[in-house]
Amino acid sequence: MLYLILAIVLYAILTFYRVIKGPSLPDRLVAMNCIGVMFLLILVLISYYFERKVFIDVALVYGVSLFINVLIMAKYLRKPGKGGVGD
Amino acid sequence: MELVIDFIHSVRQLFVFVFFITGTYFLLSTTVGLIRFPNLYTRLHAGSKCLTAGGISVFMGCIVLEGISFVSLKLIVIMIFLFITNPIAIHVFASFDNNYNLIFKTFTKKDFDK
Repeated sequence: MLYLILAIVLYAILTFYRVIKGPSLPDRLVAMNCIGVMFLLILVLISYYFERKVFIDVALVYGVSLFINVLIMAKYLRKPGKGGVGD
Repeated sequence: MELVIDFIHSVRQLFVFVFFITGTYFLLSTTVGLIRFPNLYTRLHAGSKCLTAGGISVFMGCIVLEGISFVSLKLIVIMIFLFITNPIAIHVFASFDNNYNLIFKTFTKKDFDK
């Protein structure tokens, strides 16, 4: 279980390269979404590693918060008046 | 009787290992795709499908490890929520980067014939 947590942490650190060196804005947003979902998986696996099953509630609330966070960033950063999903 | 219980325990451990290794493979392919792919749309492709598949595999491994309880019910709720919301987020990205005029030059065989 510990090796799986370390592997997902390594993948999240490698994905952070695309956040730093993204040519455009949506690249960085996609990479940040990927890091968020990987952190959700890390929360669930940490709850199994320390054998505290109460921590899964934290992961549930974090999943809802991640989705709202991503949608608000995508709605704030688009150009106004040219059509999109938010209109 | 103990032999049957031991066999069921071994099969459960085997399924847990298979699900975790599949999830690790899909998350690795997500990372390699986000780093190595050239365009934005291919990165969107890597960020939507492989990430959803890896997350669902890891959650299925945790559910098989847990058994039937309220904790596995919470895990199923998180898994269904991830399965619904992650393609919606990628669709929002793909629709709003249309405003930035990011039409990429991709050469095909027709362009060289001209």
